Amino acid sequence: MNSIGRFELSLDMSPDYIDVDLVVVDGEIYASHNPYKKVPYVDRLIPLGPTGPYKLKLKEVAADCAEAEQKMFLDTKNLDVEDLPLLRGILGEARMEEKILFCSRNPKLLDKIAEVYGYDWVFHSIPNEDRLNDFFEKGYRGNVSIPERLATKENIDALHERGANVFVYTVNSAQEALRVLGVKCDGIISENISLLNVYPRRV
Amino acid sequence: MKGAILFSFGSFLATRQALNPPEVDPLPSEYIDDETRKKLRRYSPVMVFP
Repeated sequence: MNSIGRFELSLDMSPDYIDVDLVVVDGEIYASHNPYKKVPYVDRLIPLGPTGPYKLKLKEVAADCAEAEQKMFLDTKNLDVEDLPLLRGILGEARMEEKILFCSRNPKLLDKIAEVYGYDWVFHSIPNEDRLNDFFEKGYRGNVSIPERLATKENIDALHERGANVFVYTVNSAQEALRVLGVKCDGIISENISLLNVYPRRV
Repeated sequence: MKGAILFSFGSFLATRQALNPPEVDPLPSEYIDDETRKKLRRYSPVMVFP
C-alpha cells in the first residue's frame, strides 16, 4: 500500500489486513512503501517529496481504517525503537491498537513491541535462509512472514512447532496459493485482486 | 554515441517516474476457474493486501 489510490482500493477490497509500510520523516510517521528512490547520476537517495508517498500520514490512514473496521499489517522496518512512543500514540488515538500486526526485520524492535502487545502480534520478516536459521538458532519469538520460495513443508512444519504463524509473500497466482496453502501456511500476502475475491473478509 | 543518447533518455524517464510515481500500481488479476476456486476455498488463510 504505497499511494492514496492503492489505499482506497485496499479499503474497497476489505482483506483481513492491509499491509502498510512505515517511515518516519521529521517527527511524523508516513505510510510509504518506498520513500526513497535512487535517481540516475545522483549518487544518493532522494526523497520523493510532497508529490510522492509522503502525502499519506499514518494518523490519517489509521483513522480511515478505524472507520472502515479495517485491520492493518504494519511493516515497521524503517522505524527505530525510539519511534515506538510516537507510533503507539497514533494507533491509540485512532483506537487501532488491537487491530494491528507488527512486522519487521529487526528482532530488537519486535521484542520492544511485544513488551507492550505480546508476541502473538509480531511478525519477523524473513527474506532468506540465513535469517530463517537465525530465527531457529537465536530463539526468536513471535510469528514470521517468508517469501514463497521458502514456504516448504519442512520449513512451515518446523515454524509451527515453534508456535509461529506463517504468512507467505507475495503470492500472486491461484496455483501459487494452492501450493503454499497445501503446505499449511496460515496467511497469504497477495495483491492479486482475483485471489482476494475468493476470500471475502471474515469479520 | 546512439547508446549514450538512449541511455540518457531512459534515465530521464526513470527520474521523472521516481519524482511522479503513479497513484495506483498495476495489479495482477487472473481468471480463476470454478474447480480451482473450490480447491482454494478448502482453506481459510488470513489475507493480507500489500
